[in-house]
Amino acid sequence: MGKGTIISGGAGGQYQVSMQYNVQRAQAEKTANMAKIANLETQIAAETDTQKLNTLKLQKLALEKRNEAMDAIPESETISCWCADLTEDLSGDVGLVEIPGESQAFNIQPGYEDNAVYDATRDGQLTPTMAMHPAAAFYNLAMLPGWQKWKPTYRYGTITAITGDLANVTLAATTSTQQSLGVNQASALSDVTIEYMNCNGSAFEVGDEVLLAFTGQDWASPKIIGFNEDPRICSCAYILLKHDSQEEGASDRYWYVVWDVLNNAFADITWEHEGAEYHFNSWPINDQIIEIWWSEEKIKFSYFQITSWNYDLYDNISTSSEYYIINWVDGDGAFVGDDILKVDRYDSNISDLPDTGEWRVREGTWTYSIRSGYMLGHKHYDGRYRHALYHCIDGFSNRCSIYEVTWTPYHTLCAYLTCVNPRAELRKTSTPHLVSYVLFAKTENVDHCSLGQNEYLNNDWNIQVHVSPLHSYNLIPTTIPGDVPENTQLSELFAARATAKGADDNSINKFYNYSTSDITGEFSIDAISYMGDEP
Amino acid sequence: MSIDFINTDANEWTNTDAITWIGLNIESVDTGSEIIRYFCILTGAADGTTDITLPMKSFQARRRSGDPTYLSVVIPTVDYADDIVARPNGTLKIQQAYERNGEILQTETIMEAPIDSVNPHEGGTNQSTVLVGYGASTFIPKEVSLTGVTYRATVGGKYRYRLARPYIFLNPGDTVTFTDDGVSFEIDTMVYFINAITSTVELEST
Repeated sequence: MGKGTIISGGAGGQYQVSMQYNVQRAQAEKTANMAKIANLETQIAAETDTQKLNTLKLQKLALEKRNEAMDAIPESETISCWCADLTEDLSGDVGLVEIPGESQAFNIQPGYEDNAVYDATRDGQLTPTMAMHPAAAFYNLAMLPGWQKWKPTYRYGTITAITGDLANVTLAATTSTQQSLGVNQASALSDVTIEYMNCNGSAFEVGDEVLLAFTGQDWASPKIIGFNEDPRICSCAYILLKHDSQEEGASDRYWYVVWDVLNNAFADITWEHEGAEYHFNSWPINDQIIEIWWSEEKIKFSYFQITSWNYDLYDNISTSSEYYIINWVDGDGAFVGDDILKVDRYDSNISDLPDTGEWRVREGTWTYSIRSGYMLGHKHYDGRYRHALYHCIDGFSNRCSIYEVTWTPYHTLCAYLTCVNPRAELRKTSTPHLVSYVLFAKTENVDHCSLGQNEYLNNDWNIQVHVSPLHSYNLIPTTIPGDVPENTQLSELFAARATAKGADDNSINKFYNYSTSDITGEFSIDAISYMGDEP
Repeated sequence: MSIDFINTDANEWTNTDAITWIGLNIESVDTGSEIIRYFCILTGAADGTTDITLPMKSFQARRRSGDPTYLSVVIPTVDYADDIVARPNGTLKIQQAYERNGEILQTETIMEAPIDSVNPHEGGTNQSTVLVGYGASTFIPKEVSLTGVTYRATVGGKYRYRLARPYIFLNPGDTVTFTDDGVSFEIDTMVYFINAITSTVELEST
């Protein structure tokens, strides 16, 4: 355990940290030596006996050399260090974690709820060997491997299985610097509790390299407290709904509701801002300060802005003040089909039952890599989902990203504006008479962020589907064809079909074009959850 | 007396320094015709002065290749206080020399370490000054055949061989082969215990 001072950084949880050493003993010794030197100088000035004078001179030199050694002891060292959780705004003194109890690897204590603030009792402070009494240094080095093994502090491991907030972990092989002795009591741990930010196990998945702490330095009491590096954010925590009555100047033009997704309940928010404490637990509210809270809150959100529009195609949406409350249908996170999230419309007192214009949030597993995305749409009287879709939550790797939703009078689809490097995604381009949806797929670890069509062409392969609004077509949701292994090139999945359809396979980019009829009931781009009306 | 130097060191030893020799027991160490001598030099360049040769009563050392060498030298007097105080940033050098019939045939610096601490000792009748230095040196490994082992041990699976007459160019990292028993190993550490009565150089394998 140690003490550090944040120098810079924070993005993604990585910091430059000045590791602060405990050099108090060395400084005290130096101060005492200075006093002795002054005393010796007095004695030297007065001494006449040659032998005694020589001894005094050597004694003085001995103290000066010792102080040189004290001066050479570093008081700090700059290291690059990951916070164990995704806390990006650390500052000041923080607690450091050394793995495995000595200066081999470092993390910053998990920072959620100010936990990383340095605590001398919990965190201690590293003392350089040179600053120790020789006997203490020897004792510590002699005892180190045994202490590391039988009084464990922290280890790294890899999750091999996870269920809820419990995980099985394979420990990283760990040896002491002293005699290279192995210091793990076992190579694996089972049913390890996960304590991570406000979401515990939901931030983790099999294969994650994690940081384990042993409560009470007891091998039988491990818990996962964070990531080795590149900490992951918790799943979407809140959904904010904002209603805009379009009444310019009205004090209650905007009304807000915040839904706590993880707890499947209205949010209960305690927030300090500019010296005042706010408690939001009664919804809806029309206090726009919630938007400041929204912008400052470190937990990522998805932002649904429900606005009353007067366009013809939205005429079913009332221009009166209405609030659309998300109802978390399936709280365990295993969402299927339409039963994921549902938004019911209420009047201002939030007491009415939904009417025929039912708002719903639908699962948007519209790519092979997005495990759960959600789209907010309006269910029209004819039973078809219509536009008014503004943002999507991407549950990819439990990271929340906000994606702009694009829509046209006839079609509404989610598309990405930010780069998350999924393995597949759908994008839309449009011309006055043609709307194109590009199912764009790549292998992992290949960066692609641009929305430009040329970018598509420059990638290894992709599949383009042209959809004409002048034709009737159907993209009824169907089942995604099984699990697609990582790095599977979707071209392989579609190649046979493309050939059968007579697609143009001459492009080195394997750019496949399909006519409208080709896609009817064919592809599993139902995953995009088509939401437009038939023209 | 003519002195035939084969000296690769810049600090040439002169005959006037003879009083600073550690005179070893010839019968116990001289299996040939040469006597091994050791000298202690404290350099002065870092303090803007000259090098001095200090008389040694004994020295102990642990030499490693790459890792710091520990060197402890006992000066049997405090009379050199002014010389030592004038060189607080000096480097301790130990030179090994071969002498035959009063002639120094060869000298070589076998170890050096910046002075780290100075410790005066006083007894009822005698005084001494212990100088301690630490310094890292790295050597180019070579292969050497030796004889004259006085002690053999295997501790923790590692060889420990003691020599009465160490090869003057022997360094940690060298691979040494003993013609007495055919054992060969790479030297991890060379441990020196040298005084006027006994001379032991122990080689520890990696």
